Parts: sequence; structure tokens; C-alpha cells
Amino acid sequence: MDMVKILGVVFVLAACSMIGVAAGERQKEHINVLMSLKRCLLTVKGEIAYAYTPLSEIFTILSEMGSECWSVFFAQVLDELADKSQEDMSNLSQIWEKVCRDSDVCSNMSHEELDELVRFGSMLGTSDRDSQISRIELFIDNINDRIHYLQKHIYEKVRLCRVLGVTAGLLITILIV
Amino acid sequence: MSISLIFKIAAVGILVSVLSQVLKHSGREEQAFLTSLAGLILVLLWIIPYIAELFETIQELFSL
Repeated sequence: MDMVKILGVVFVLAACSMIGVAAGERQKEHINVLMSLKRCLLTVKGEIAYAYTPLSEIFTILSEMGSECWSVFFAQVLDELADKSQEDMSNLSQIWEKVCRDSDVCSNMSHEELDELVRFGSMLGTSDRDSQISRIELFIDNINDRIHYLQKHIYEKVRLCRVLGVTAGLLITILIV
Repeated sequence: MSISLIFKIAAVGILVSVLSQVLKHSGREEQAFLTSLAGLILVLLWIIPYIAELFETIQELFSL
């Protein structure tokens, strides 16, 4: 019976510690997601500013960038657009919002960031080239600020998650023993 | 009342103080306060039956 108790304690501690570590890794992944989004937006800006590429082709380019985690997101947007009988860009904002809410990559973002991404999608294809470029630059600046803030506090957050995981495991152990 | 209860209370006290310090250091004073409060309530839940038993024993002893 003591052996069983010891095993149970070890499992509980290990599980809670791993949950803490996973939460810490998720914080790091948040920064990677934002940096990947910034790279995709720079691609969008470059294609619009210099190549006058249509939005559907830009989305195709981004969906084929296998090195970026946002390629799946843009592939989903393209699939939703292709489902419509005509490529009607007035539905793009609705499709963009739907994919933002459902996509796995967006689950790593905070509510404010997600709302900002949805607002960004609502302006795509609705104004002239210069306005779109300005809006993209503004969004990139906001993402840069957010990345700098997260990078400044990442060490504390990861340590907090790990410590919380271990202490929660210890507390549960004390309660059940 | 077994001696293990004293060790449990000591362990909870140490854990709560460590957790409280870590949360305060991270700028989350409210969560630190709630953690301390939760630890206090937990220990009280363990202690209150023994205190009630003590008062009953005193009552019986002095025929109050």
C-alpha cells in the first residue's frame, strides 16, 4: 500500500509539473506565433506595394509557405473563399473572422490580439492601395510592440508557470496523502 | 490527532508562503492574497474539528 501511495504521489507531481512546463512553453509559442504573423504581414505588404498582387494570389503564396505556422490559416481562408460560387471579396471579412475564431494557430493569441486581427481582416480589399499599406504597417507596429513586451516578461511568466505547476502538485499530494 | 497533521500544516504553510512570494514578485498581489487565504481556510478546515472536540471535553470536564 505504501508503494502504491508513493507511485501515486510521483505521478501527481510529474503530471502537475509537466502541466506547468507546458504552460511555460505555450507562452514562448505565443511569441513565435506573433513573429510568424509579422513575417506574413511583411510579405502581404511587399506584394501589395511592389507587385500589385491580388489578395487571392497573396493568400495562395502565404498558404504555400510551409515554414510559417500561419500557412494553414491562409489555406483555410482560401478554402472558404473557393466554397463560394463567386470570389466575392465583400464576404472576405466574414470568412476572415470565421477562420480567426476556428483556427488552431489563433488559439495561441490573446483576445485583444485576436480582435485586432479580425479588424485587420475587415479592411482587406476594401480600400485603396496606400490605405491598405498604411493599415498593414500600423498592425505590424502593434505586433512589434506586443512582441517586445512579451519578450521582456517571458522569463518571469515561464518561471511562474513552472513554479505554479510544481507547487500545485505538492499541494495535491499533501491533500491526498 | 496524529502527528502527521502537524507536518501537513507545516508543508501547506511553506508552500503557501513560497507561492505567495512568487506571485507577489510577478506583480500579481491579488492572486498572492487569494492563495494565502485559501491556505488559511484549508488549515482551519483541518483544525476546527479538533478545537470543537477540545471545547466539548472542557465542557464535560467542568460539567458546564
